[in-house]
Amino acid sequence: MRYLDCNTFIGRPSGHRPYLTRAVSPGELAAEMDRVGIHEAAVYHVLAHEYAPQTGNELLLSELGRAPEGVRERLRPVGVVLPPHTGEVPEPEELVAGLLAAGVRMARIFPSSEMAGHRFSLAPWCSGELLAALERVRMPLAVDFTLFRRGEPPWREVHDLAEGHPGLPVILMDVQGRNNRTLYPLLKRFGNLYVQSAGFNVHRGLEDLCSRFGAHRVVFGSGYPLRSMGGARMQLDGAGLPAADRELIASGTLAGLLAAVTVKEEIAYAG
Amino acid sequence: MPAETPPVEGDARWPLVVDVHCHLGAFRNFHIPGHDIDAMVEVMDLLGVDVAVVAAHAGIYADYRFGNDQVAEAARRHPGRVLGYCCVNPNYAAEVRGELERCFADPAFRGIKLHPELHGDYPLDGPAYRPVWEFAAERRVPVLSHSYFGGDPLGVFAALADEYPTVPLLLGHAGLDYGLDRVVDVVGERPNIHLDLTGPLSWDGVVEFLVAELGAERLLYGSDMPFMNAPLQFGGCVYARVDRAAKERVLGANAAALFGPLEPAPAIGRRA
Repeated sequence: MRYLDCNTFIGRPSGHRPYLTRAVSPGELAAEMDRVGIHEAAVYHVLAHEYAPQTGNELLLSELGRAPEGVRERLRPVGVVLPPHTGEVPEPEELVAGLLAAGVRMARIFPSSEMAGHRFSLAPWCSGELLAALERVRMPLAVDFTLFRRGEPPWREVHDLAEGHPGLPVILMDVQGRNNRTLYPLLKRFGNLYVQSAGFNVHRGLEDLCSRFGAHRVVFGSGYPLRSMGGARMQLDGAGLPAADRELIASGTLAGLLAAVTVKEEIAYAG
Repeated sequence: MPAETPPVEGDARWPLVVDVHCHLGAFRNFHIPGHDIDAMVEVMDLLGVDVAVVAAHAGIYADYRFGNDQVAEAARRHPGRVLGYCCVNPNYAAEVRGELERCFADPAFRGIKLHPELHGDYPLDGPAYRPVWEFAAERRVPVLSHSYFGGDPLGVFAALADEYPTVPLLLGHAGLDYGLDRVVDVVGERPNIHLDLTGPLSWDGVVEFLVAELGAERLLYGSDMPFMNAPLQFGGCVYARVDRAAKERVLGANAAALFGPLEPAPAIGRRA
């Protein structure tokens, strides 16, 4: 079975003493992947979250470009994006074209109004053009609300996001453990919603979710280097699921989504 | 590139695994699939967990007698695999001592679980909890208390540990919300405080930090099952970058010294 972790980052975070007080390089990330038995990872740069998306994205591509062979090809770059209205990032079509040209096949947003978030609305009047541009090329979008452990996603926004962009694969990164009563009707209603595995911290939760909606709705992810990659792997390995379901979660679904990103329009956009 | 077979940490067999922080039953906030004891034991079998020490959700919140009865029944269904925490509610102060006596007439009860947050933030050193500390001191019973933002400060745990040196005091969630630097300072000076790793095991590096600062002897594996996902917590422990001897202590040997004697039926063990 192959594992593709959808939720990792590199760089030096502001700090989470004592858990994480170091800069994590691509090589160090790959070393942990080797230790835990993870083949590939989708990775963003922590400065794209904690400082500025464009700066972090550029650092990510630079650091991955310098990574040694055997590391570089296992790490899939994730672009952190914003709506365009403040001029911090290009207009959505240009932004997405740039990501595609750089080899990026997955995007991530931090829309929360909490201190850790980028504080923008997912409403159509704010994020509609950005989301439409991502949807047009079917680029998977990791949505990270940076929730504290008892937090709850802004369900109305999740509903409208999934409803308004049915061609956009939306991966909820941090559903947390207490939210299945509202999550389930959304999964039932919208086939383009996915759940990151370690962010769904529920007893027999993977088994329950998969029995209702199918294993293809869960995507393996850890949150490393902040969260335990071994824990995420054990969550999946220790789930009472058939091997075929675990394979879908481990890498099958996300690999399929990444392969389905439309890249042929890249030149047209760039031009 | 990793091998196709699972790495040794995830597939290892352990001589004894004791989960010192389990619950049982429904919880008001959300749906818990398979929250009955049989479904919990299935997870224990998948992971190779030998013994779970259980405090019912009803006991830590809604109705302590109802919850303690659930625990007693669960222990009867799975003798040796399931042990119990007796839960009391300080808002029913006159009934605390009697409930402790009632529970501990059953040898399956091996500890006391306190959850001040769900019982009106009642202070751990308040008068309604005094019978708990006195009972625990008389019988040397481990007491596991939840710790949390906004609850009793770390100094209250330290003062209680000093006042009742024969009580093994398990600091729930390792006192994560206080900051582990402060926890290390307090625990290092008090041999009767033990750290329940439930929750902090999700974070990379916690086990490594605590083993380096305190040694493995004071650390206990816990999962919060079925409140949280047990494999996620178990993986955080068995994949930690500490040596096997330390993991054996954290996973089971330390708990056996506190909650024993243990006579678990063998766990079926992790799937091939």
